[in-house]
Amino acid sequence: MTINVLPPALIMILGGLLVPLFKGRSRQAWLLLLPVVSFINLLQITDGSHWVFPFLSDQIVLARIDKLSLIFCYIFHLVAFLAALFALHVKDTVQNVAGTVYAGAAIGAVCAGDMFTLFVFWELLTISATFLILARRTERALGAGFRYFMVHVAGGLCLLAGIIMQVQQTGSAAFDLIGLGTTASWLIFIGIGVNCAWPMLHPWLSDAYPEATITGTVFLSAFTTKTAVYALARAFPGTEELIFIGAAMAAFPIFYAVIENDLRRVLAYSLINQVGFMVVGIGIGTALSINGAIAHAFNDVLFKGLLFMSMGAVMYRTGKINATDLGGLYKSMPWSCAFCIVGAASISAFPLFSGFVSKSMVMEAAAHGDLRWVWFILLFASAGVFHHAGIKIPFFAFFSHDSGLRCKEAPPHMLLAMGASALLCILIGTFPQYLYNLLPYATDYQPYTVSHVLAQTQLLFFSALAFTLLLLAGIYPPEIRSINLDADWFYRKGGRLVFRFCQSTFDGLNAWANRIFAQQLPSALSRFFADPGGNIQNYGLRLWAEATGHPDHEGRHAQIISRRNRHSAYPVGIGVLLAVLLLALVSLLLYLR
Amino acid sequence: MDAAMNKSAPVTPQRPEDDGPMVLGHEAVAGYRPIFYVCITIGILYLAFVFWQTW
Repeated sequence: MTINVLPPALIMILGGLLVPLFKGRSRQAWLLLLPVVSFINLLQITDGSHWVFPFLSDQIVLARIDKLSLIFCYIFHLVAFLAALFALHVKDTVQNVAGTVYAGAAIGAVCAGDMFTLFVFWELLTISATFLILARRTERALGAGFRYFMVHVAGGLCLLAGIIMQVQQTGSAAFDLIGLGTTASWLIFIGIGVNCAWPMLHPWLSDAYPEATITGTVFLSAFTTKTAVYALARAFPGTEELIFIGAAMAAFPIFYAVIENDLRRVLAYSLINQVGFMVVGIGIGTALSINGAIAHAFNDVLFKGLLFMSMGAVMYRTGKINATDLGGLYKSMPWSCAFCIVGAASISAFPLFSGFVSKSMVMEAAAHGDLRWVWFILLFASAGVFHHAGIKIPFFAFFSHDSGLRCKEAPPHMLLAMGASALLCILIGTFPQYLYNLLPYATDYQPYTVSHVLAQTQLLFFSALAFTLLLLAGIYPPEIRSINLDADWFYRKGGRLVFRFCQSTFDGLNAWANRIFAQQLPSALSRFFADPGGNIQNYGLRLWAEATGHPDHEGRHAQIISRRNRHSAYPVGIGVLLAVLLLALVSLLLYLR
Repeated sequence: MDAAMNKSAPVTPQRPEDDGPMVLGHEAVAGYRPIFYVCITIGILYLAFVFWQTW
C-alpha cells in the first residue's frame, strides 16, 4: 500500500460534503474536478487489499482492487463526471452534495473488501439517493422519497442480519463468494435483491426514479442497481435461482413500459429489463456469461444515462415528460433528438452500438448453456426493449404528432454530456475489444459474426415492423395519463390488511390488558390493602362457612372481625398462617427451580 | 422547472407535467389492419416453422 493515495470513495464523499463551501463557477469546477481527481487517485492504487484495519475479531478492508471491482470503479467515475457535467446548471446544494456523495458511496461499495464496509456504503447509497428524490420538492416526490427510503432500509436491515449471521457462522467478514444455502446467505441474497429491483421487490424503482429531479434521475440510473449487480457477481455467481429471477426481470417490465405514459417511467421499467439480462448472466455463471453481465452493466450505465439525459433535457426545456404532451420536438431540439436515437440504438443492441457487443454475450451464454427457454425469453425481451425504449422514447418525444411545443435546444453542458455518452456508446459498439480487455475473465468473444448480426438485425427489423403496423392499424394502445397498478398494489393492500390485523389483535390485547392491569387489578389490590388482615380473615371465614354449611355463623364472626380490626387487633394464628403459607410458596418455587 | 431547482422552493402539490391532455389516441389508417393481420399470420407461421426445425 502506498501512502500517497486515498481510499477510492473518500475523495468523492468528502469532496461532496465540502460542496456548500463553494459558490458559482468555483462550485461547478469543484463538481467536475472531483471525479477526475478521484479517478487519478484510483489509477494509483495497485491490485490487492488496502487500508486493512482490525475490527472486532476480524478486519475491515476499505479497498479490494481486482478486475471485477475496477471495471465498476471506471464506469462509476465516468458517469459521475458525465452526470456532473449534465447537472452543471443546478445550484441546489442538496442535489450537488447528494449526487456526489451518492457516486462516492457506490465507488466505496464496489471496492469494499469486507461485508461491514459494504454495508456502510450500501446505506450511504440509500441516504444520498433519497435526497436526490426529495430534492424535487413536489408532494409526489416526497412520498416516493420516503417509500424509497423505507424499502431500502428494510433491505439494508435484511442484508445486515445476513452479514452478522454469516460472520458468526464462518468467522470471516470477507466479501467473497457466498453462494446460497444457509439462512444468512438467503438474507444477504434478498438484501442485495432489493437494490437489484427483483420482481415483486421492484416497485421502488418505477415509483421513485421518475419522481426525482431531472439531474437526480441521471445519477440514480447509474449506481444503485449496478452496485447490486456487482454484489451478486461477487457473492453469488452461478446461482441458478438468478436465472429465473433475471428472466422474469427481463420480460415483465416490457408490458408496463408499453402502456406507460411518463417517458422517464418507461425508462425506469426499461432499467429493470436491462438489469434482468445482467442477473441472468450472473446466474448462468460461466466466464462468458459473467463477462457479458459485467460488460452489459458497463454499457447500460452509459446508454441508460444517455436516455435519461435526453428525456431530462426535454423536461428541462418543456417542463413536460408525458407522451400525451410531447411530440414533434426534433425541430426544436435536433441534437438532443440525435443523441436520444444513439441511446435508443444502443439499448436496442443495434450492430455498431454498445448494447450489441454485451447483450449478445449473455444470450450466447444462455444458448451454449442449453438454456433455450431462457434464450427465448431474452430474445422476446430484446424485441420488447427495442419497442419501448428504442422506438417509443424517441418517437413520442421527438416525432409522432406535433404537440405544438417550441423550445430552445438543451444547454451546451447538457449537449456535451449527452454527446460524450453517445460517442462512447458508438466507440464501444465499434471497437468492443477495449471494453473486453477490462472484463474479469479473459475472452476471445467475437460479436460481429454473420449469424449474430443477421439474427439481431432480423429481430430489430421485425420489431420495428410490428410497431409500425400496430400504429397504422390503430391497434397500438393509446397513451393515457394514468397511474398503472404494479406490484406495489400488493404492498398497499397487504399493508392495509396487516394494519387491520394488528389493529384488531394488538388493540384488543391492549384493551384487555388495560382493563385487567390498569383498572381491575389496582382497584382490587387497593381494596385488599385497605385492610389486609381483616380481608384475609373474612375470606377465610366465608370459605369456612360454605365448607361447614353454617352460613348463619358467618355474620356473627364477621362482626367480631370487624370490631377487632377497628382496634387493629389481629389473632396471632392469622399471622402464623400467613407466614406458613409464604414459606410454603417460597419452598415450592425453590423446588421447582 | 427552475423554481424546483431553487433550494428555497416550497413543496409544490403537483408536478408541472401533470397538466395536459389525458389521452393520445392512435387513429387507424385505412387499409392497414388487413396488412397487420396478414403479417402477424406469416410471422407466427414462420416462428412455428423455425421452432419445429430447431427445437
